Amino acid sequence: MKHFVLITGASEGLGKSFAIESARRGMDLFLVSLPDSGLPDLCGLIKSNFDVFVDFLELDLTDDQSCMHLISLVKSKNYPISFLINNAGVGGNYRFANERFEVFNQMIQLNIKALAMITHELLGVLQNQECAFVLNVSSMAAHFEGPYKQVYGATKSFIFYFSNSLCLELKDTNVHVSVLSPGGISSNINLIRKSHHLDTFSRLTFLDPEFVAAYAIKKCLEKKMEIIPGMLTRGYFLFSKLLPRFIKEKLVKNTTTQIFNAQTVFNRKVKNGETTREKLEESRIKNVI
Amino acid sequence: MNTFISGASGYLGQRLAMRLAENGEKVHALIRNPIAAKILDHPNIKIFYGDILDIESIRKAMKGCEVVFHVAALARVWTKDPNDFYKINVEGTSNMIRVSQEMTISKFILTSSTGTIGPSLNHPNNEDTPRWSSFNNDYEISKSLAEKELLKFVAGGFPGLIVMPSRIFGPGIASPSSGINRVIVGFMNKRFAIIPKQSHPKGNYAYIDDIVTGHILAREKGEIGEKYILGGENKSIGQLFEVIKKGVNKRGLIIEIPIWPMMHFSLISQFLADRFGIEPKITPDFVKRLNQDSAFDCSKAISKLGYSITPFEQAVGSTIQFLSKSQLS
Repeated sequence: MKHFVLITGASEGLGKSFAIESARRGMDLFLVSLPDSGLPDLCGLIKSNFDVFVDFLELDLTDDQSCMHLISLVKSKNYPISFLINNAGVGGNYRFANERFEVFNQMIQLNIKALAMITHELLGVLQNQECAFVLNVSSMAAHFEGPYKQVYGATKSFIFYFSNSLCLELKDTNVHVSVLSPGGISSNINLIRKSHHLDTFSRLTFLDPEFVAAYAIKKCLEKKMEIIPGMLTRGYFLFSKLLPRFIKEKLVKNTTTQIFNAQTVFNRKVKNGETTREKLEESRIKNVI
Repeated sequence: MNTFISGASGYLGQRLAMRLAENGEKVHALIRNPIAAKILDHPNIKIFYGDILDIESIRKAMKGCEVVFHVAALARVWTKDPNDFYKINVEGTSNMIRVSQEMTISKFILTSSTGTIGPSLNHPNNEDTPRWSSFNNDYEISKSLAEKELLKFVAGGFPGLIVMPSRIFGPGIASPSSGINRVIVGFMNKRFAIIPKQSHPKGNYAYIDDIVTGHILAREKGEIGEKYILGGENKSIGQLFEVIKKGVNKRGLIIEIPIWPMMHFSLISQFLADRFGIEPKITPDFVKRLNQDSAFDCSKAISKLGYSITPFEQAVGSTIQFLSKSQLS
């Protein structure tokens, strides 16, 4: 059957790869992303390369009204959405006490509220299709509680629980729900550059967004519930389940601290002007780890 | 008219410098290594020793020049310290622009790479194709940052433009940036090659002499702030080797293997490189690129600059001739 996919956060990184991969599979697309993030260009590229229908909407999903606007637009246009990819999200490593609450509020708004709201309001549309899928993007962070990821990790844990629970609830219906828990993704320039400060193992677990997107869509359509891309990450994940809690804690603390330090080193370099010219890039930083 | 060339001791820069010199133009060549001076031995080439990371040396060399070809770059897939890419390709470009601005240069041509546009989908990419794929390596990132840097200055009135060669091959000095040449030499010597199975993804292969001509055309007709792809024909790896085999005219074996063992081998190489600093034979991002289409369309350069493409077989033929001669000597 021909799918009609709605992807949030589609202009960059993993979302962009989801869009390209869906188009490759001949799905029609409705893409949502922040204004001025190059979404019209991406749609033009997809239209000129693939024989699919593409529409898009540029808005900021961190406020409820925008979410409602998106939902009513999709409904009014009668798009037969049969695949919903809830990809939009913000992250980052922060010291809880040092950061303005606004940063965490945005994370909660986008990662939790927008995702739940869109899924809730579009479930009816999905149920009206012959067969429908929801793919929610969680994170490895949901499985490894480490420092500096308090709110981010918690929002991703929400997505993980929410997806699995909803999947079970909808078990005998035509809607399947999958949850994706990727490790590091080299989705933008800064993440690739930052990864140079990590150890070899962490670097090898870094995956391309193209690979993650293709793998996740394939597994979701095969009705897999929990999706972990990358053999190394999958192995590490399974292995960690066998470890006693105190060892796991130590390992996670090491990795997370390393990532946090890598970010700090990188940011300091930018501040010192060593990489002044990338400040522009830095302002767009989105941490997906 | 005096013309300044950075990276004149490199694969492309040397060829460009010699062409201009033979056309009777005066060339200022900025090079780092005195040993390289002998490949630029021509009465019209004036050699300056320096480095694009040393502003003072650029200043000395650029004095009296009207046009700048900024060809110098760290063009390879791997170095011990990935920061070298950013230092040389981004800061180096920025230094070059700053000095060119002081000297009120009339045109500044930055040699970038089609790697900044990245792989293609069903249709060949052109200069306006937005990048859809993640960056493969630090080289690509650094070159696209260099482009951004130039365009920022162009917005402020700087007379810069960008040319983007694709996968380059053809007669010239041996260098890490002429990967296709090394592939041809490897096939000539060993008579066998390992290529990925189902090697239908297309790449764009550009003949060095076309690219050199393209640079000169860009100087004459290129518009400020524009990008021009200087490429060649789009061919798959299978087709590439067919033509090489035909050109070498000796029996050879082309073995097709699946992509995954290559990937695993490259991951191990990468690991050894990261851990022990052993230069990898192939890197994971290289294997990834083998499996991606990166077809390009140079019709903009053809229509706006009068760029032309040497037919692929002919170009490979001349390359093989050149390489077998230099192998003998």
